[in-house]
Order: sequence, then C-alpha cells, then structure tokens
Amino acid sequence: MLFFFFLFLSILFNLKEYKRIQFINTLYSIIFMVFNSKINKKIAIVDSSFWININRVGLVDYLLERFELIFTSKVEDELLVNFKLFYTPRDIIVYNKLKDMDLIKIRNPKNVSDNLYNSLCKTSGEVQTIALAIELNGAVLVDNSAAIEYCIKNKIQVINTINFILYSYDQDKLTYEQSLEKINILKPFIRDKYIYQNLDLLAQIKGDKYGIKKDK
Amino acid sequence: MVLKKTNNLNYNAKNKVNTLRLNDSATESIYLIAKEENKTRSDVIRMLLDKSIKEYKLKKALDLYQRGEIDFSTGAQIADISVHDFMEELRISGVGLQIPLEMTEYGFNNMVKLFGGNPIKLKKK
Repeated sequence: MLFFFFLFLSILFNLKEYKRIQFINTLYSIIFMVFNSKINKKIAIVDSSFWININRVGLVDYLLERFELIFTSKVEDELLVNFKLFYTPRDIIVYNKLKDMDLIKIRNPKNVSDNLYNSLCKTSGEVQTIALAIELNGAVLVDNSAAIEYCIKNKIQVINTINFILYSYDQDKLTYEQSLEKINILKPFIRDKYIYQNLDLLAQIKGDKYGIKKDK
Repeated sequence: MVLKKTNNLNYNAKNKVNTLRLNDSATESIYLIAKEENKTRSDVIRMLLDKSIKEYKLKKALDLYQRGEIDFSTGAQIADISVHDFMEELRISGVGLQIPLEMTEYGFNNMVKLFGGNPIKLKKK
C-alpha cells in the first residue's frame, strides 16, 4: 500500500505542470464518479419548467447529490429549441455540460397509458415525463399545474422547485436567508398564493427548528 | 387545438394573395404608416398582421394556461415561442406558473419519503 502511495507521488512530481493538473483532474473526476455511484440516488424525471427554475435559483449541485436525472427527448427538444433568443440561457449551458459528463440521461417511455393521454395535452413533454416516471418508478420533478394535479390524483411522487428549497433548508443544506432569497427569486414566476403559503411553511420550519423563543 | 397547423393545409413561405376590404380610417392609417416607414402598403399590412397574430396566439395561450386547460409546454407551442420565452411571458402578464396549493405539503412530504426527515403539516392560521 505504502509502495503504491510513493509510486503515485513520484509519478505526480515527475510530470510536467500542465500534465500534473490534467492528471489530478482525471483522478478527481474518477473519485467523484465512484463516490456518486455509491450514494443511494433516486431516479427523477425532469420537466422543462422545473429545470428552468432550479437553474434560476442555482440548486443544480444539490439536485445532483440526491437524484439521478433523466430527461425525455421531448423535454430536451422543448429546452433546446430557442426561437427568438439572442443568447443561450444558463440552464441550457448547464444542461449541455452535464449531458457531456453523463450526469444527465435521455430516455423515453415505452408506452403511455390512455388515462394519462386523456388527462393532459397529448403533445406536451409532461405526458412523456410522467409516463417515464411510472415506468421507472421515479419521482417527477415539475413546476406545472396540470402535471402536478395528475400526479397527486394518481399518487405519483412529484416534487417542485420550492419543495426542494424548503427540504434543503429543513436538512440544513441552506440557511433561512438563502431559502428566503431563492423563494423570492421565483416569486414573479409562480402565482402569489402558492408563494405566500410556502413562505408561511418556511417560517413554520424555522419555528420548529429553533423554537419560538429563539425565533423571536 | 384550434391554433395548431394542420397537415392538409399547405403552409409555405410563399405569400398568398388575399383580398380584404378596409374602412377609410384603416386605409388612411396604413397609407400614413407606409409613408412614415418608407415601405409599401402591402409590407405594412403584412407587418401589422404578423404582430397581431403573434399577440393573439400569446394571449390565447396565456388565457388557456390560466384557466388550466393546457399545460406549460403546450402553452409555449400555441404561442409559438420557446419554453423560456413562455415563462417570461407568464411573469410579465402576472399569470405565473399555476401550482396547486396542496402541493406544498404533498411535495415536501415526498422528499421526506425519499430521503428521510420529519413529515410536515401546514399549520392553519
């Protein structure tokens, strides 16, 4: 063991500087991939609305820690088709980068149930996302009403961006101020009633965590 | 959906001849705009129609989305814009993503089911 360690060190110091950096980078990515595969990640099928919002609040790293992300081709098409934009949105840059690193996978459902087809618009990406989640027994990550309503009705695990923010706060991954800031970023994009209800829940979690006395 | 193109109609880039009757006020306005913009009257009519069609599609998409008749990506399809643009339009119009209120508890408790923690029950005010 010691022999290998010294062998590793001698290789490292004998390399030219740029090769040494390359070597360390490769080693880091191997360790990262092995470490990631050891963690019990859950399968999640991501929809376009969720992907845009989770990038907006900058929580993709936390998302990758918890979920194995899968997109359907339909959702990928929706995201990558930018008709009138003169710039590439940040979520697309992140998407392409993660796809190159094989941290995002593309899969499509084998079949879609009639019930699902009849409940949502046939051509929408949400239909494919939910159908794949049913097939793979994964969670649906979506920020859109119709898809969420279908999932609640059919007891499919569904999570949206604000749920993810609040859970991250509950698990001490985010501070109260960070969570509040991220909810406020999403405020203009989500209907007011839902935002206010979640701000109440954030305060409630804070109260449960620190007790009323400390909260005051 | 009413606004979707159907395959049996041959939509192509070539302009088709359409005849329409306009009242005096519209005719005069078009003449003045054409003079102001240094364009032909046909160009002005095409430009105004394009703009109005886009506005109509967007308004229709936002309206249908707000009423819960279509989902987010279908809204973008109807408005003929990207999902990013449609989300921006939802913000500008003040409609916002329509997420049901029961999702607050349901979604949070789904995270708890998957990764552990204490389920939450929203206290009523």
